[in-house]
Amino acid sequence: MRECVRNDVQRNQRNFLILIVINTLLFASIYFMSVYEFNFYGFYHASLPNKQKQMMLIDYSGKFTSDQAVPLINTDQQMKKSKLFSMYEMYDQFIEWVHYSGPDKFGDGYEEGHFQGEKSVYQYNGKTYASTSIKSTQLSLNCFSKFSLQTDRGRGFQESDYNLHFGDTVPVLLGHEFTETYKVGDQFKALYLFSLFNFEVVGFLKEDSYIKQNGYGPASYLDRDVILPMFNITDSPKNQDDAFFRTLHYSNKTSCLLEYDSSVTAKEIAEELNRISSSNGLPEYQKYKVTEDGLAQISTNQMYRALSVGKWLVFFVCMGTFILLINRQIKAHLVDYTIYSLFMSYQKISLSLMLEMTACILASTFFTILIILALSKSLMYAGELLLSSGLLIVLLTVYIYFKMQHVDLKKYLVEGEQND
Amino acid sequence: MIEMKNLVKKYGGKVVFSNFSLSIQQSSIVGLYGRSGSGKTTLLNLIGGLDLPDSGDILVNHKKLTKSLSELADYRRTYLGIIPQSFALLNFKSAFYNIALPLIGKAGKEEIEKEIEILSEKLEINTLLKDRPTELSAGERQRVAIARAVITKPAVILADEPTSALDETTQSIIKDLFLQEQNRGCTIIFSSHNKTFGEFADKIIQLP
Ligand SMILES: Nc1ncnc2c1ncn2[C@@H]1O[C@H](COP(=O)(O)OP(=O)(O)OP(=O)(O)O)[C@@H](O)[C@H]1O
Ligand SMILES: [Mg+2]
Repeated sequence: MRECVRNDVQRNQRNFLILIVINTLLFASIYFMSVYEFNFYGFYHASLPNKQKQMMLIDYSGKFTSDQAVPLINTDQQMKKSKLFSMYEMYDQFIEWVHYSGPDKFGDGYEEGHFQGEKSVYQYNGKTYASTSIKSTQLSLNCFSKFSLQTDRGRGFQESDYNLHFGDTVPVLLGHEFTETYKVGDQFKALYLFSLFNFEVVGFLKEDSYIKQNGYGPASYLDRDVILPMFNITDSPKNQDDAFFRTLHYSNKTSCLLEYDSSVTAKEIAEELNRISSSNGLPEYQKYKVTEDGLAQISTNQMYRALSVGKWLVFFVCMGTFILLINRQIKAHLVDYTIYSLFMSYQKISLSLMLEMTACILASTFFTILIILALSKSLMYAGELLLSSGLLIVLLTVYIYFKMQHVDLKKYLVEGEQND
Repeated sequence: MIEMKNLVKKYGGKVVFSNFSLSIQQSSIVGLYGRSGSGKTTLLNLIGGLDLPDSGDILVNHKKLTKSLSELADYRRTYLGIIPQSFALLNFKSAFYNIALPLIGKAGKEEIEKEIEILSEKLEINTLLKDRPTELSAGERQRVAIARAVITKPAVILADEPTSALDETTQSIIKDLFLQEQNRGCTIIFSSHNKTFGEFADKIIQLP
């Protein structure tokens, strides 16, 4: 029988390779399609620690011009009012601390090795400041209870810290390591999103305080961060700079984490968000479902839909070609197997055909996994992929078994129908 | 001993055998004659288990022929030597491999080589063993198919027009081979258009 398989593989090498390529294409397209489809419809329920709640991360994707400020403010307020989800506003926009004299370790990029030290920074109105980029995180008030953030010196944030006007002093909390150099009541000036603010230290976070940007993802420690309230600033801007600042600030503010009940689907959340953003004339937010494996993009825009149809097309073309080729392969085999079956045992013949198909599917699965690794650097749904390959092998085995049970041997002999 | 009892074989509405009975003794040579389309191939296929009758029985050594495809394959493999009308050679393999096919896994390499040497000399194809069937003439291919059927020393040889592509000299080689096979106890059933080829047969069946 080894002879038999070897011959067929040899002779059908080209067919075999085509089959593997088509099969790989098919597997890969099914894979990527299901990944996107699942995200689109929110079928994928991540097995997260708290299964009652699901998480979605959203990102502003519109223009950064001053006329976007009011739509963004309205969007923020409408999102807050939605009954489908609650917002956790978290952003890690660094600040430009003017005349900073503290240790380097609080500098932005210090741990990553690209801390720049003091440099000249222009404000929009043309003034130049000697400033240093310092790590900073902006948090809404509900983040403090969500991540059990507590202060051990001074006070924590209050509701009133979140409603500011241009020109107000902004209260800040400092991470634990700042206690070595600063104290409650210290004030400093810094540019936050190109706008100059006066800041006052009102408290210090407990040691080892952390948040999780994705809700569940890895912890980011706040010991070296300046914590700003993710404040509201709704009074009319006095100048272009202030108007522009509000666009930047509210785009950060609405790029946030949403928490919603497991009884609601990601699709419903996505639709609600689209409704809000479009009613304010804003483009759709980028949406990522938080899964155990990381973030999975959820997309509902037109281009995505076109892409989705395209993928189905690829899927059907692949599927059709695959079935045709398999059939051709089996038929080509049958001619020779008929000849073999005059002199060889029947089971061995079916077995060798099944073995070949199995080899083909396994090879395709392997290549598909390589493609997935190359394209998405992760192996989400690899288990499902292997499972469906297994299923395909079983189906084909059954198909081949029945095909071999009903093969018309004489047809290939009497009519002299031969391969090649 | 092969017995056919009240065989009925139809293709759609076309009746090939309506009530056909025939008994073939062991070690006999039986020739099937008849016009084209008279059912010679059909009958050989029925005996070879390549086709099933609509009704009636085929008994081989008093045992009814099974309907299971895998058992039929075993029956062909162990009991028959089949020479199909279309030769049915593996075109991507050498003549040598084609002849050796039934012995693969059953006999050693040397034994196979020896058998093929003797047989191919007898059939005058010993210089062609390395060639592929596509490089051979029809007559040469036919002799490869004959060698392949004979090499296992089967109990029964089913030969569908085994000399259709052969000239008279070569036909007599086949005749000698068949007689030699008969001497060792083999039953041979062949079909032919050519009445002169059948002179050595023990029994002639004329299909209507
Ligand atoms: N698979 C089939 N489907 C339909 N009819 C068939 C089939 N095989 C054979 N027949 C018919 O059965 C009859 C007998 O065919 P068969 O091949 O046995 O003839 P034959 O005597 O071998 O002819 P030839 O001398 O041309 O080889 C013919 O009329 C043929 O058309
Ligand atoms: Mg015929």
